Amino acid sequence: MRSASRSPDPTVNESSAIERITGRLAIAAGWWLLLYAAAVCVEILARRLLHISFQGIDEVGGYTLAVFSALGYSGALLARSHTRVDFILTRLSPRVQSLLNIAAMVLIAVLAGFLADGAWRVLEESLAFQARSTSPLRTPLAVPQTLWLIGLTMFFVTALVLAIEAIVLGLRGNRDAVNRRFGPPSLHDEIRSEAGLDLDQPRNHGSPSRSNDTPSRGKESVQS
Amino acid sequence: MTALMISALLFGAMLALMFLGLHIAVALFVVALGGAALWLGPPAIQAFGMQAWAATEDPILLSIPLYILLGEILVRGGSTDRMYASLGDWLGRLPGGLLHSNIAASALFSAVSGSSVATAATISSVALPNFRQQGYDPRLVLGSIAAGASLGNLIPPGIAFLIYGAMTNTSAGRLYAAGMLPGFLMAVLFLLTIGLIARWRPALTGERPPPGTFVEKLRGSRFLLGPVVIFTVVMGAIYTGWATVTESAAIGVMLSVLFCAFYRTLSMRLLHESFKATMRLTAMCVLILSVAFYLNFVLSQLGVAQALSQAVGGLDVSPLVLLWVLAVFYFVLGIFFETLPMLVGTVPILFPVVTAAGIDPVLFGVFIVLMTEMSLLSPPVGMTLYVIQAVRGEGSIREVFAGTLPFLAAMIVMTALLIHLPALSLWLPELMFGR
Repeated sequence: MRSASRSPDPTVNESSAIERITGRLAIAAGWWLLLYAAAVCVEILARRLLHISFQGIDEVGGYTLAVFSALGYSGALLARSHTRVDFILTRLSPRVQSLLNIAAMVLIAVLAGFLADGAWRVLEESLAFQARSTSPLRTPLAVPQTLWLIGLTMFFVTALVLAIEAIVLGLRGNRDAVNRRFGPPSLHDEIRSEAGLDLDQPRNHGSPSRSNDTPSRGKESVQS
Repeated sequence: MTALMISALLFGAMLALMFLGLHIAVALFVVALGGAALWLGPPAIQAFGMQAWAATEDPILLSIPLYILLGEILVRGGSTDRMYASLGDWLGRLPGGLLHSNIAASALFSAVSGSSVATAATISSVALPNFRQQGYDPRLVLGSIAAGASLGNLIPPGIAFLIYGAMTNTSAGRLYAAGMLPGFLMAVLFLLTIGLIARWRPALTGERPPPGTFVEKLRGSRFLLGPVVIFTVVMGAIYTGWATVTESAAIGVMLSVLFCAFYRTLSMRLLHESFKATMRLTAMCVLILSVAFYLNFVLSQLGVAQALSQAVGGLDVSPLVLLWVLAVFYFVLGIFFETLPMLVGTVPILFPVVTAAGIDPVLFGVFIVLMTEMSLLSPPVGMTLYVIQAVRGEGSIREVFAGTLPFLAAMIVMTALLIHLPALSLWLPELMFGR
């Protein structure tokens, strides 16, 4: 385990660059969501009290979800938040585990590829027919669909980089590193990301090797 | 190959891929793509993009990120420790003492947060120190937190109902109305369980807190205001017709920001952390959901739904028998699976079966959500149990397991009530929205 953190990974910088981008995107998208919520509240009040209705806010909402989630896919992949069933996986030998983890990363890259390809087809069609929504807004569908495609392409690139990383680590025979970085997150990681509680920090229970489980690669490279 | 054999094959393959630890979305996708490639041809494969776009375009699904954001903001800024203390003031005098506030706090918290992991971790870290020297049996302390934390999806607003509704074209408003009575009844059954244990084995429960004056209790209650007001306004807006499900989620988000300002916890950092968590969780849900929509599309093209309903129609099973068989099936599946995989993995296949047998889609929605809650609580795999043990950081996980057993029994009673008294779930939505 120590040896893994001592030899710095050449790919670490790339993924942390993606991490920074996804972090900023999440904040920007979050503000958008909050503003949208505020706009909806204003709309409800105007509709109820002044009997004025702004049309099309629903429609913007529909695009918001498509774009918001597509932009979030790569961040969720980096944070290992995409759900997996680890009941059997964690009971297998490290060798089989590492093979399955590599397979999982390759297959999610394939899925991301199909998604990006599908999004491209959808956008192409909208452009060809100059498709507009049937609502009063008459939004050119190509606008939200371009943002959607950008998110999905980012997801594909992220998944591809991670899949290649996993394969390279696997070919080098570094099973522990594969399982640590591409396996389902540990319980402590999950508690940290869901509830913001860091169980590794304040107390000293558990084995000291626990600290190696942390996904924050930044810290590891500082140590080395 | 008949549609029936195809569906059995695809369902088996999907479960196998999930068990191998692939991402859930990947397991669904491989099966959908396989079905499309083997039996439908290129147009069905190329439909993936359009299906994924159509899945996210539904305005009602925007309530998923909104409810998640509302929960994240309130969880981070809502002063959980004082909320817990206030519930202790009100409930601590009941037989069983502070154990009741574990149930109430976890139920309240998980209803707004939507994440049972976050609930179990947060409530354990707040509650466990309170119990150190008060003579409560540790098993009951741990079990009551786990039981409360598992309630989140049944008490509206929850994400599980939205996902089920989107997959089966069932109204989310109706599902929320249907979950209300069973959710509260479940909480009451948990409180009764504690009361009964306190009666029979007083040694297992510890000191009750000293009685506080009414004014003191009321003053502490301002920390309960956040979740209670938000719950009332959000649900009220849906049922009075003031707002749609999505709009009321937006109202909830704005209220949660206001409450954080009121508690003086609002900060840029809090908002940004909440945004990041919201985007992560939304992405996780929507990826699975988009692929699940595509799988649904492929299955319908294959004629799976018709084949299944005909087969079930021919068997002439009674709804009661079918629901009990499914209860056992979900209980076993729940040992391995979490909420989301259970929902998206089984609904496309089982929904046509269930409706063909004459079971109300709304009733089945409540049933399946209750089953997912049970999976969170059932040893030896329920996620929340390990979370609680990890926060506790001492003793054995066996104590947590033992502690959940009385509450698991209460949940089985609830399952029986739900199956045999359809009015429990169907009365309220029919009252509110008509038949």
